Amino acid sequence: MRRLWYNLKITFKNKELIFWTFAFPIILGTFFYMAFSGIKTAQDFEPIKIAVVENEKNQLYPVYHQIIDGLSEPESENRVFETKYVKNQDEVTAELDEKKIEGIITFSDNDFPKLTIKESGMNQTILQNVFTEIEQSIMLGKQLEYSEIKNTYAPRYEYIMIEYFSLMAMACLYGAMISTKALDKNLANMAASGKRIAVAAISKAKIIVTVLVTSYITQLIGLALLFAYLTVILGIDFGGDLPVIIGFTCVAALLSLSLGIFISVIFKVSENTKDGITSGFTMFGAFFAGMMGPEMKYVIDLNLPIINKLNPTAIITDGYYALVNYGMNERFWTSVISILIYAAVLSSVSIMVLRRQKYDNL
Amino acid sequence: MTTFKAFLKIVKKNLWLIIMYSAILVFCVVGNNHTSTGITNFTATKPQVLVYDHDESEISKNLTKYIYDRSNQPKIADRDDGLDDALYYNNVDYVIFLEKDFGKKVANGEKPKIEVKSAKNYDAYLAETILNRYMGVVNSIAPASETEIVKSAEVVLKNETKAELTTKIDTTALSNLARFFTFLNYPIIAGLVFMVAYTTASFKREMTKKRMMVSATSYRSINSKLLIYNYGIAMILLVMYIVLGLILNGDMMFTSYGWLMILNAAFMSVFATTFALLLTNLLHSNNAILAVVNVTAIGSSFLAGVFVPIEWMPEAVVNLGRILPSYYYTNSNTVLTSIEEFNFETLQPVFINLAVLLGATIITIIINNILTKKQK
Repeated sequence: MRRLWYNLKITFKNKELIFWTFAFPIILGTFFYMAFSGIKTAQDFEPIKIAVVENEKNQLYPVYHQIIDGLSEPESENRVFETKYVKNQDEVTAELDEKKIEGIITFSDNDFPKLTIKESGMNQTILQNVFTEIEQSIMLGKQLEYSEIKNTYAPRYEYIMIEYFSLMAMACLYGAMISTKALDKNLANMAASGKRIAVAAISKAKIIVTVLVTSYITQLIGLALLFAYLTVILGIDFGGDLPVIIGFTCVAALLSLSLGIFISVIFKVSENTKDGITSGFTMFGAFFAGMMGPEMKYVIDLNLPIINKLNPTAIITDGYYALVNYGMNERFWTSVISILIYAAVLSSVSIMVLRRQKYDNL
Repeated sequence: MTTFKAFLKIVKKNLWLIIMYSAILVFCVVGNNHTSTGITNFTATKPQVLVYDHDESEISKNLTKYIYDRSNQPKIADRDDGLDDALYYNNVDYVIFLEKDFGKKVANGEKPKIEVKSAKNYDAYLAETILNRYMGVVNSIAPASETEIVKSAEVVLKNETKAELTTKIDTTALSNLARFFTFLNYPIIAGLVFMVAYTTASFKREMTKKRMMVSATSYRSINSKLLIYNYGIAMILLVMYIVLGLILNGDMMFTSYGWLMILNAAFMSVFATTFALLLTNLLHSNNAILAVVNVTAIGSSFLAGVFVPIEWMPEAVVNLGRILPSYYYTNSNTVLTSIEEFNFETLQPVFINLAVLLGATIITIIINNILTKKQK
């Protein structure tokens, strides 16, 4: 117990370690929140700004005027346009160039209207579609009779949540630095304290177990802080099944624990390089898991699934995704089992190498 | 030469970082690029739509064809939750399910109800207008036989409002080019700053510093050499990224847009190198440098609209981003995409942004000099 307490004190005194495992994910979470908080609003449909050049000589103009007015009603649920009427196209050409309006509708004396737009795009396509619909309705000589459309898809969460899932996954794996550093201190080839331990008459197994327990506790504290920051302070909703989310996070932390031991034992390089390996591996993995754009995870899952099946950040991210969207289904359990297998393989390799490790004796 | 050799040795050690960030750049750009048709006529945006036709009648087949001609059909994962996954990630925007007897109901004038799954984004809205238009026309023609409805509907549906474009540039190719240079902000800050800071920091370690002080070479000479080497590294990396840009964007790189974006990236690289030198004056541990570089690279990229379009961000966040040089760098790329004719007036916002980058570089150099003086 005393050894555990000392180890915890040593870990928490390491400022760099605390930065990477505690502060860095929280800083990233803040950036995500700042950048993504407006996305839902941005995806809501905004009326398309158009200008209509009046031409009373055209017989169809009054019909179009009436329909456009109906589609431009500010209070209407079906509002599509924000319209202004002008006498001459030149009055609004500059506005079109500066993208202040999306299109200009002009009427020749005896034809359907023509649409002038600056460039092709989403709003321009919608604009062209709506005017085509009006044109076709006029051709049929009656109002189009629509069918009722029933949407049955209602996702529980915005797709941007993948960013937060991958952030949690990244934080889990950054925790590997804790076990790497803690174990390094006990390896004779890495630290002076390790040499002393190697020659001391104390149980190595007990020391290793203490190191692992300390690292695991520190990781869980870091993850709990991040989770509390995201949910309580930023108000990110991870769903109602809190005990399962916590349980899954604890399992994911096991993977980072074994990854840290693996890096510590396998790579015979300096402490800084080991940190570089952990952060590089995790960041690159986080990129494939959708941290810099959720689409990336989907593209990789669909086209190169093997990458994300081997990528621990993606495995953890997918576990959160499955849990939050579909509950504890087969996909969620696949993630849990994958994490456990990954952790078991890394730990077994590390133990084998650790057991064979011998140092020169006198 | 000795300094250069030592410098190169450290650079080589960190080459993996540059490779990693370049790979991220390529993945990001390739993943988001749109195929340019090279034409400057109006091209309708195509949403990602799937139709599940359980009826296979004449009308349902015609509707499917009508929808598919105006949309793309994405590939989805072959598993139970494949469709929901695709909708969640916006890989599919709209899914239409046509029930059994759909054609018969239309023919009888019953206006059948249609079940859909919509991602509720702009593309889904567009898909719904296409579906609505088709259904509106066929329902208005009914009741009639399926063959008659399809025949009459085709006559009406082929009439579309004429759209004329005022731009004479290939906007798709231009926005792909702008996207490449905008993403470049991340590797410049993450890769270049780290490389320069890490390399310079190695020369500032106490033991190395002492050895340099007692050597025959003057401290000033070593410093100026380091400065030249660092700017050299920045320019080599920039050339490497230009080659990468050439592979991804082709001839667009050699247009006025391409040259101006390269100039903009060069200004950003010079600022990044100067910023890296400031970091080495402020921080002495490699880990601390790595931490600051990571936070700066990701933070500035998010706030400057590299990963998320700036128009989607709340105004307060955009205003906060204005304190970062990255904002002015990405803003120039955005401004350039809307310029049709190059003259002083249209290019003024780009010149202002370049001046801001230059100003930020000069301020960083001044702070750096003050710190160096104090450290002496």
